[in-house]
Amino acid sequence: MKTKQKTTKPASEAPASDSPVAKEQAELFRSVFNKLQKEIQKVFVGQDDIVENVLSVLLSDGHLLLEGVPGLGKTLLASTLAKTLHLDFSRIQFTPDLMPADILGTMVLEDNKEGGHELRFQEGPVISNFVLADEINRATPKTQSAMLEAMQERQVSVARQTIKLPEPFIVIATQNPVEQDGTYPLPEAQLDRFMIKLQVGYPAEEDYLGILNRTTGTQVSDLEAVSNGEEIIKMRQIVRNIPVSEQVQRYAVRLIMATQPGSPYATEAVNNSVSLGASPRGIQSLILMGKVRALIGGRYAVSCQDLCDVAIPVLRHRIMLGFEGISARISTDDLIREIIESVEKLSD
Amino acid sequence: MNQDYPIDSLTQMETMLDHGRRRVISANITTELRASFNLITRGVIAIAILFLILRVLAWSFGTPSPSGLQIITITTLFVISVCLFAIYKGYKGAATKTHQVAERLDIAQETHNKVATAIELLKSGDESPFAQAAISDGWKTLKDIQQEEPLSNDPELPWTTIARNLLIAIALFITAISLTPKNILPDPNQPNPTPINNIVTTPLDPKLIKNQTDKPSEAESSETPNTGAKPSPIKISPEAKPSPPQTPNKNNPSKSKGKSGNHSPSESRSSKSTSKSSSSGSGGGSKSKPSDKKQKPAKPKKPKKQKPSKDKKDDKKSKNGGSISARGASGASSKSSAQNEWSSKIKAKAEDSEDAPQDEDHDDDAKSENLRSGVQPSLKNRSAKVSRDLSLSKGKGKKQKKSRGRGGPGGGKKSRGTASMIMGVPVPGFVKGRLLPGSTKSTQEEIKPTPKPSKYFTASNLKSASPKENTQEHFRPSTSTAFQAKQYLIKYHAENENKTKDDKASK
Repeated sequence: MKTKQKTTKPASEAPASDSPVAKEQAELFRSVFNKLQKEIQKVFVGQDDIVENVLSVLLSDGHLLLEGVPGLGKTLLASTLAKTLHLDFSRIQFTPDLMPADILGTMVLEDNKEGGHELRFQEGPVISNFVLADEINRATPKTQSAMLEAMQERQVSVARQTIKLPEPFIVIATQNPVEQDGTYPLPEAQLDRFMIKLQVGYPAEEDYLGILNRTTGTQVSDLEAVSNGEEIIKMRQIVRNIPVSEQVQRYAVRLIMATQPGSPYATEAVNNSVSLGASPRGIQSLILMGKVRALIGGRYAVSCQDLCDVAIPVLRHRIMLGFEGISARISTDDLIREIIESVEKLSD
Repeated sequence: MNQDYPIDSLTQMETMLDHGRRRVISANITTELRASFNLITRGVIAIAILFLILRVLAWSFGTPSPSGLQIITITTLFVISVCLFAIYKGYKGAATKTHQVAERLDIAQETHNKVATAIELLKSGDESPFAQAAISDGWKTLKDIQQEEPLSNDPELPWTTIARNLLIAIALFITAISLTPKNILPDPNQPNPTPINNIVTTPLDPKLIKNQTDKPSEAESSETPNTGAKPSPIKISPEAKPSPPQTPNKNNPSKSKGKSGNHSPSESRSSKSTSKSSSSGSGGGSKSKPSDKKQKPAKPKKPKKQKPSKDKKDDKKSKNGGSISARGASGASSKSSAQNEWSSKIKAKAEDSEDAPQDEDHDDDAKSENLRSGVQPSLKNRSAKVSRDLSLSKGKGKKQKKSRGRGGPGGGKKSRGTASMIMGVPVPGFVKGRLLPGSTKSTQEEIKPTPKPSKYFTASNLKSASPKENTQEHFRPSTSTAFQAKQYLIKYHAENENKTKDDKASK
């Protein structure tokens, strides 16, 4: 605030203008969002907040981790989203014997036209616009780490080659809860690369009826690709244009710092039960998701409430509980709710 | 959405926020005031408790105590000062900057930080389309809500606690004030006859009185009819003589004030009641004489009407005045520090002279009791209480005279009994002889053995297999052999007897 006040214009010089561009862009964004949401809801019944968050991640240039017990439609949601977009789609079924080369690609020996042999890079399934990493936590950590470079740098390095990944690039991973058999916990470095983590729960009573009607009869829902890569990139640009006031930025910083034990904003519960708090990557995700939230809500600037709304899915996988937290069975969601209540929204 | 906003929108927004600024200040002051309620109630309780303690002390020891008016003034000053401090704190701590007011307004009205963001974007001069849209949005929002009240962080006050504290304080005040008419602040112009009536004085040594008072004849004449007998001399140790500088009660403020001549009403009253023996008393001492004279006829009934509490107070007052009459009636009120010192000195002296005969003391006590027309507590026995310390002293402690029983000080301790005497320690008297858990049953039947028939043989008809089997053959020597054996044994025993005789003789 203080540095910005040096460049403050006098009030009389403030431009008197309307903002049709912003209005058009905001309306375009909302229309695309609503279009995708409707198309997904043709197949995926209920769980509107899950769908909204999935689209928010898509439009804010992030990656998504879906967690839930088998049979809740995680894979269906991801594949449905892929079908609604004109994007290259690849699916990787993670198994314990999956190797990094199976994801990234490998050099293969081929016959050339001259009758000889040559090594050629065979692209792996990760080199695609839309990657569905199904049951990602069933692969070994070595294989899971093959996704690290792709998710953050948007490139893969294989055999002294660095291959840029196509834009837009989004990874939607599904996983079963860690307590289930045959699962490996994801490394913290990989968890941090997911913008949000959504926990898919059981549908509501009415949603069960919808699922039955749509899946057990002869009715087949035809999905259409209502958007493409270019439009997605444009939407991502609109999202980044949303201004964030210093008050909101400070609030975001306090929220992130409050997850870190030992910080001045950390609550007693955080100090006692958290071993690792959210990283700066977490605040980037928080602000980007907040911007999408503001656009969906018909606003042109991010508010503190927007950050509160997205704080739980953004921060829940970035907070690592310590021994005391695990033994006390403290939920990270409850911890985040407590943090939201404790952090002051006023800038001063 | 109206996206237009005026050129001088920042100035206009600040003007519009002036209303909110004032509200923020007033709300902040209100918040501080409400927050200070708890402190006020606690402070009032503390003042009430202090007031009550002072009153009780005054009621018990005659110490000076503030009046109810003074306490009310102090309480009022405390409440006003706390309120003034809260107002000052609320005014100084109020967020009076524009963006602070805007933030509070946004939070209070749940406007998604539109106003604060618009002001910030206006100040920063951001001309991006979304910034302009955000400013326009904030401008419109502020126009809609400019008369609304901004956020005030009103704490949720514990009203029940505050009400309870106030009730406690009021109860304490009432209790403290209710003590006033009895003992605290009597009218100095109206002498209270009751304590004077209850004063039990002992006759003074005329020589002593002559030396200390200007009017000994009046004192003697006022006291002799009370006793109805010749005043017996009272043994007083040198420490107990009523010279004011040697009065052991150093903590009594009435004494020091009496010296300086600054008497509070209560002090002057105490000096009045004890003026018979106090030659250095103020003018109040002369006032008490007529009252004593008036009460003379009622004196034989006094011991029955005496209340212990008043006796205590009067005794203390008389002691404070340095009167030797304190010895007479202060037996029941021997808890004061002065008396403790006094008694310790007497006791120390008594221990030094243990061999001295005590018949005279007993006679004196009996006489003084008769003079006071009733049995009085024996003040000669003002020794320390028998210690109830039951810790094992292993014989190191000094054995007291009165220690008896298995407890008490000094010497070896008797047995504390056995564990079975302590409740909760089960000591079995016998051990049940049961080998294994579970119930066992044993039965006995009287059955006579009956021979069972057998196809081979029966037990009754069973005979030995050979005739030698059931007979015992003995050795029977011949007569010659028996004779030889007899001779041999006689010879053998004779040799043994000779050997034993020789051995004894050699030894």
